[in-house]
Amino acid sequence: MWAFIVLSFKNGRYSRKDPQLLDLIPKDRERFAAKRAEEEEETRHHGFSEEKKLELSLGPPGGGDYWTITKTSHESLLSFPTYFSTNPCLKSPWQHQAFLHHLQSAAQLPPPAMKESPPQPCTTRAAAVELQSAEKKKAFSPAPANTAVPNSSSAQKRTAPAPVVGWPPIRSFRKNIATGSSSKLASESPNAAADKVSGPKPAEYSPRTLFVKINMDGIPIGRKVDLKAYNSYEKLACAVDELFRGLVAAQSEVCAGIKDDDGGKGKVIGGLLDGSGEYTLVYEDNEGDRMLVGDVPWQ
Amino acid sequence: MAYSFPEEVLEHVFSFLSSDRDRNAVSLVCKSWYEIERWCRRRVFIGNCYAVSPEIVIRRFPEVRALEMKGKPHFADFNLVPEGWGAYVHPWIRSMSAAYPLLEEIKLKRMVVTDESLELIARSFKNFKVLVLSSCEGFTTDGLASIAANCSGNAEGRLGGLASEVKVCSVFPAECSEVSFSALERLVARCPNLRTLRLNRAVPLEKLPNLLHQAFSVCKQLKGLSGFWDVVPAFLPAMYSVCSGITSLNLSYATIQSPDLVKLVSQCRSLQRLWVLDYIEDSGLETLAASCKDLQELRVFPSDPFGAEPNVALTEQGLVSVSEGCPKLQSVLYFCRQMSNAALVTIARNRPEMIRFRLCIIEPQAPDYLTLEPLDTGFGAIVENCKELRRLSMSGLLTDKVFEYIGNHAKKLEMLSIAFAGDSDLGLHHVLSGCESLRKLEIRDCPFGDKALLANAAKLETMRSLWMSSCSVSFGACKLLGQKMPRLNVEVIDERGPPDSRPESCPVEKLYVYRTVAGRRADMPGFVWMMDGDKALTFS
Repeated sequence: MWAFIVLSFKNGRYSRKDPQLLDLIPKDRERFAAKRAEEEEETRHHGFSEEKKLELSLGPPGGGDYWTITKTSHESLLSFPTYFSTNPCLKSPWQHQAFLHHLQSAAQLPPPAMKESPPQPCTTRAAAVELQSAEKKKAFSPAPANTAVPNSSSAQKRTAPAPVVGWPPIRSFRKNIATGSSSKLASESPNAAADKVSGPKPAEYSPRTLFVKINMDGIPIGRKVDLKAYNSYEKLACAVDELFRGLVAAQSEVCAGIKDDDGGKGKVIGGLLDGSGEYTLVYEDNEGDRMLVGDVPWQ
Repeated sequence: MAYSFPEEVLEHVFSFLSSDRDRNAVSLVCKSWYEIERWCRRRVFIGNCYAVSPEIVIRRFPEVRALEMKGKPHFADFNLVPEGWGAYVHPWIRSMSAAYPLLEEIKLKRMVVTDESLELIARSFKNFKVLVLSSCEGFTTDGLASIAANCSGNAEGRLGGLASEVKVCSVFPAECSEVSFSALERLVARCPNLRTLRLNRAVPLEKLPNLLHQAFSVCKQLKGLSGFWDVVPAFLPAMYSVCSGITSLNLSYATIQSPDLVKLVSQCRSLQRLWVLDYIEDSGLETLAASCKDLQELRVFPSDPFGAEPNVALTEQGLVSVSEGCPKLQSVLYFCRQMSNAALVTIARNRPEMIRFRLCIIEPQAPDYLTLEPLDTGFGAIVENCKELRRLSMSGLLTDKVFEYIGNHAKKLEMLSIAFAGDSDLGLHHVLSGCESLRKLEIRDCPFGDKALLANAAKLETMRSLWMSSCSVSFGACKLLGQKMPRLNVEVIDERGPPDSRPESCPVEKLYVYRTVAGRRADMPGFVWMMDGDKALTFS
């Protein structure tokens, strides 16, 4: 399953927002409105109030003016002991704090800044070449080279909640060991692992549409496409080209300050799949790894 | 003293000093000792490539023959460092190609190494012998080929830790010409002194038994075996003949299971180091504990880390058994799904000489499964009993209390990894103020903010580095730290855009602080901001 697709080139920005966290904001707005008044006073002093679920203060996190910086002591930038002798340790479970953190940072996303994108060093050619040579020359990287087809059974085995990036702390090439080899084990070893393979697979679920987000490096606005509307990678690549052509043209106009010759129609964005163009299609799988589009059969 | 030894004598004496710490101590005695020592230092270890510049190293040590260097922070292994962050080796190779024509050895870890760099190495160093690339990226087989083609003699290329498609991982003391399977066979047949054989995925499975037979019949001294991506039980008997000599066994990619796995392991009576998947299960570890009394290091990796339910019968009991049965056990990395304070206390009491203890309970913040309490007591017992502990990674449900224990007891602790733990800044304060030997601290997803960090700013200059991601350190605090501590590089890694487009109290995504004598680096990507004294915020 694909989380979202990103068009990327070297040194670009990668957005790794977890869509689930952003979805929570609208649901909780009523609760937030009702509680805000009484919580505001508390949060200003303690940062995070204890034992409140999902405390939503969409302003900046916790008050900061109860500690002072002592200018005399260079080493200790803070009169630390005083703080801790008067303030009891707050017992706020991590989850709420991290949730708060994520919600706040999500709420504070800067508006699409078309005004000033500093000119990125132009390494697109290098990146495209790199990707191309990477494919042909068998590049090395810590990312998994064993793209043993992540078959559908392994994806569906995951009944656990959405995995946290980088957890558990194992290297990428250790992630698919059991799932990658389970088919071999079943056939070759009579004392089989077949019994030991983990958990029941959830029932097949096949909706009629499958919308995924596509973001392109340097373009603040993304698009969504329905993967079920295409039947091949080539069609997807064409669609991506059409969707983003205009946006790229608009962006480069603004950045370069010159008017495009063809009146804003934009250049064709080609070579998305084979690494020959300026941009390449990659996607981010549900483990958080960036993968090149095209390895897995379209189905 | 009015008279001192002639320089040559001192130099000869210093030549017996191999440890960096000893050599650094010697350099501090007096100016003449500093001068003599720096001219005869042959090996340099740089734990953080950005802590110093090539020019500074070359200026001080003009006659280096071996360089070992590390780049990215450890959490880069788990995808927490965005691509393009840095750690490029090329500027170093360029400088050294001019300054160290006699360089023989380069060992790199977590660095970006391009084919261009490899080609430059191959061209520049006539006596080049050893290249070790551990968890590096950015190169292809073309680059390696140029190394192999140009470096004759005793060249050893080892590519530990990569999931790669290279044909051969180990090159033997013979020619390192073109890599092919038949060449590998011939080389193996000619190497009675073969000590380490590392194979990888690309060695065709059907040829493996013959190769192993040859290797094992000829190579009586085989000490270490690793690789085994697809070992299937049928091949194992080929190995039994050499098991008795094996001291290091890496089966961490091998999906073989009991009873074959256990039989294999139990035959390796001299085993000192075992890396294995959790297919070994508690029963297998019990057998290991009974058979392998020389075991020093055990690593058990998860076969199905993302599964919701356990797929194997591996619990805390396996580790307890090994701690009971293996008197020399000093280094542990253990992935499991349940743990108890009682087990940790038992392990701590069994093995007070433990040096590295890394425990990963797969579910974040999992409590003691028997009592549902935090695991503070258990880890507290570890640091209290294991007075030589140098490295600790914790997991499970942990409060500020465990950090109090660590700060009070872990006086030799050099590296600490924390995730999803603690309640407040007090936890971080305990660690920074109490752990005297701390060099590397890496933290993710903990409720630590500005206070402990700023109060212990001076401590950071005594450490190699600090990593904090998904914590509560504000941009304002990072700025302040950067301004006040000129000998630290305070890097804010944030992919949401410039930090000053958000309020100062907004927490940063990731923070990486390291001491340096090289000043700010010139190769920062767009998502890294350096907190400077000059300006509050600068782009690279």
